[in-house]
Amino acid sequence: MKKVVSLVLALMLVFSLAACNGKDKAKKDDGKITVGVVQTNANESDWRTANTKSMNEAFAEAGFETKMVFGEGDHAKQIAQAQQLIQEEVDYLVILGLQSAGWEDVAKAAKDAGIPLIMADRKLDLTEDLYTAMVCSDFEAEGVKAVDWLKTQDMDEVNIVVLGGDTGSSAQLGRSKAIEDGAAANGWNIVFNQNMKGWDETLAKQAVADLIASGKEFNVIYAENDNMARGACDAMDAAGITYGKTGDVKVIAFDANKWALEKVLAGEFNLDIECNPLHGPRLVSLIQSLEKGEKIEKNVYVEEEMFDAETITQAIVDARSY
Amino acid sequence: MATHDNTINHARSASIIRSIVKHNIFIPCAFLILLLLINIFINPGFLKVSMGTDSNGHPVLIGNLINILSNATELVILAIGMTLVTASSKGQDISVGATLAISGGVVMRVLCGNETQPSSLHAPIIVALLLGCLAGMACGAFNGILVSRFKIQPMIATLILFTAGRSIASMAMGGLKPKAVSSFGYYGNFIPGFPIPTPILITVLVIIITMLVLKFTNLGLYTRAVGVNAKASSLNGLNPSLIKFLTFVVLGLCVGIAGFVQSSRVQTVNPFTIVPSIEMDVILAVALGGNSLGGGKFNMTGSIIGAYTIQTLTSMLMTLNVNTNAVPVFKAAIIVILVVIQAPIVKAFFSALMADLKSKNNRGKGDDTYVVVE
Repeated sequence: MKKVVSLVLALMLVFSLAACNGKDKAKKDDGKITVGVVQTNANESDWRTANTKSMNEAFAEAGFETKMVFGEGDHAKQIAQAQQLIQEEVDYLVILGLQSAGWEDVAKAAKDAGIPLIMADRKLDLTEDLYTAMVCSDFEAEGVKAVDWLKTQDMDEVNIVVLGGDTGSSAQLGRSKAIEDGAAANGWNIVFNQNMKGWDETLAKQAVADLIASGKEFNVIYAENDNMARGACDAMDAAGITYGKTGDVKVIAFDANKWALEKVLAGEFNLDIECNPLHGPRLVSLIQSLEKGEKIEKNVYVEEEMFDAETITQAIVDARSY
Repeated sequence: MATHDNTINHARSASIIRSIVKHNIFIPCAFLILLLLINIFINPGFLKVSMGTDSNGHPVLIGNLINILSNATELVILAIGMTLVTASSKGQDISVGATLAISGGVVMRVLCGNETQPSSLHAPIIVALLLGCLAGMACGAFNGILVSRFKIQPMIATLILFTAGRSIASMAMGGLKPKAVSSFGYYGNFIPGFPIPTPILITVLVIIITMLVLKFTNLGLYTRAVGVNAKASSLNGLNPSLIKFLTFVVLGLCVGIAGFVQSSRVQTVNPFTIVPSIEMDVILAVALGGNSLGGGKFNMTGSIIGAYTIQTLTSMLMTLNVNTNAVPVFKAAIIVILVVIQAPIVKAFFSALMADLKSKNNRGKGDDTYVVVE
């Protein structure tokens, strides 16, 4: 008897699920484009907040329906979320991966389901046939900009502290590779090279405080985002080490948030390299071209500037929206 | 006759050594000292503490030892609460990292309101501290009710906040990532003009209060009693559910204090990355302190020393500039050694080995040692 009841219940469950599925399809027919977005973390940094906002606003304006999910630091969760979005039959899948590796199955599933996959912000390790388009930052090129700038600085000896981001993210891999190659090519010393979990102030601050306490000499801080640069400056403040435009230690940061540009203007950071978060409008125009069946440029790297403490002006800081 | 006296003295000092070695905080202490010695060997200036000045010209103490003592604050405070929870509930609270994010988030929200870069504090710091502690205690009470009333295993009960806590923290902060003014940083760094980092003072204060509470109240005794045998303690007039609940609330208070210190360090909180996987470090500190994770008797001093041992290890791997990808492996390897040495089987093996060696020695020496035995 029990068996029969459970069988009936199970069947009912299956049918109700099938019914749900049917409803979803019906909703899709109203002509609205649904974009599934797999975002990294909800409030990882000010940069990420601006990034999320840009996509939400641009998609809403273009009349798309947005389904945004957050991985919250969990790579496996992101992959599951992407699979879920494919099952829900979104029209476009935008992925901002926490890690660059391990996306092949998702890409294949999307391809089989006929859903165009767009990589944004961070490049994933996928072969050309597995994705439709890419709108990414070239992180290694950003790092190379910093290396080129450092070459122009007149320094007798260069001892670099590298504060890396989350191990394995494409931003960390690209930016670290640039400075490691640059140091090898120019005879600079890297006295410290560690990745800080979560791109966070606290760990960066503790690391630099530990370095100072063990008496390691350094004169360049290469922090792979603004927050870690701020943490490093806090540690140097506490030990009375001068930094920035007039100090002993040169501070290089990445992302160029508004508050960080204020620090560049104040001469606390020497250099900040932009990583443009405003992907929304670009993604909208890309999706609209795809809808019309126009030919698109497959691999686009976004334009990125750098801000030097010697040349930055108040106007540049004021113009920044995030 | 003289040789006889010598033998007695010898035996006496041997028994003192034996009682030191047998003491339950010997192994945790020995590990900590060993780690410090390795550090000194690698970097002779490791223990050096020097007086420096910060960028505002205030005197500050600088040194690795100071950093370790200061950075271990959260770990020590959480280990104190976790020891009590472990003893009473025979399980661990794995949500401390997430609930710390909640209390840190509450502190930031109270201080910054809805602004991301406020030019002044929105509320007195004491209010933020109290509300932060209250948030921590509320989370502790939630876990405590699930464990004591609904008899859910602690790891399952705390899994709920472990999963949801950081998102709750994000909501508590209104999705913002505010940065408070630098005067809020006194509690996680230095009070201007006073050279010892404030977190060290806070740790000392918490440790003193804990020791006083354990000495002058029955909390410690009751916790042990409930952990050893809940039924027997309830027959003796104790209320095991209430004691379990209380230990979770005490841990919640510890979380609140730790969250306050942590958020003061850089005057900002990122709920998703603050104190990454600290719950494992805290549980490890309790285990390294020679405590049984199966509850019952506990050793508070051991847990505190365990917490400092872990911080020393973390700091050591950082300054040695071990390849980032290899750090967890190094940490795991060292911890495996520490834990295995403390396993009862290994302990029994070594004491059997020692006894064996001693009897062989005695047989070689002749009869006079047997006089002492008599």
